[in-house]
Amino acid sequence: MPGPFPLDVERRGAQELFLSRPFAASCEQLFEAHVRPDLIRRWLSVRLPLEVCTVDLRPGGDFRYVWRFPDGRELGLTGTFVAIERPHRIVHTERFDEDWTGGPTLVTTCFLPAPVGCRMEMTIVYQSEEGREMALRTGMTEGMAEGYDALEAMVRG
Amino acid sequence: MPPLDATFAALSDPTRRAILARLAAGPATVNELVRPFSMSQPAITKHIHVLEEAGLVTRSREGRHRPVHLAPEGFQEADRFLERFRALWEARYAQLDQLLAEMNQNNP
Repeated sequence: MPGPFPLDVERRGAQELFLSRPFAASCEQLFEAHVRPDLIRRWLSVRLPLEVCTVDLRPGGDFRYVWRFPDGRELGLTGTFVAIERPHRIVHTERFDEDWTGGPTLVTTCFLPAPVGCRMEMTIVYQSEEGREMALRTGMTEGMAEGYDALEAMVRG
Repeated sequence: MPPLDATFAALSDPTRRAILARLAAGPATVNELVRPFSMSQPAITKHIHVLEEAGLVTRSREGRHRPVHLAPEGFQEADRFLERFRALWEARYAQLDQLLAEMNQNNP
């Protein structure tokens, strides 16, 4: 298998973040990995498992993720699905319990057929530029929930 | 930029994350930050100090007040935040690669 594909992360305009990455899998597989709790737990837990992962996959349905810090504290995220077009598009809103992004964000995730298999493109729209910058600063708290030794090793390269 | 350890330590506390969330809406004085929390002013001041040490907030001087702001960031520093964010998602997607490879093996 080739090395990891590059991940593109960029700010777009004042209020958006855009992430894009190809995967050696079908769009159906990639879609499933994004919506099935047993699969989500596998990759949103770099080290520690997501303690809570529930997904009610329908427009208006909620999802809930809770990571637990080693000292017992929780980091929770709740979202609501807006639109689901299996296997190519998911639109949802999400908000961390502590709401450090200054209101909920609107996330559109697209799975597009690509030469290697499927390309994921995710657009996150924040309510303000400040909210986006806070998300970048605090995003690593999620990394902590997953064991920050690994994350730090990666950041130091 | 302070070491990542300082940043992680600063962000590991829910009160400090709540203070940052409040500051995302704009600068605030210590008194304004004390109000929503059931904590003493010295306790909040201590939290602010930890955030300051981690480079996440700064305090300016306006007359007798020293409002707390989210730390201003030059482009370079902003890009470091973006790089950390990217590192988190790269780690996740590396796991996802493995998962997808397993799914491919099970259902070729």
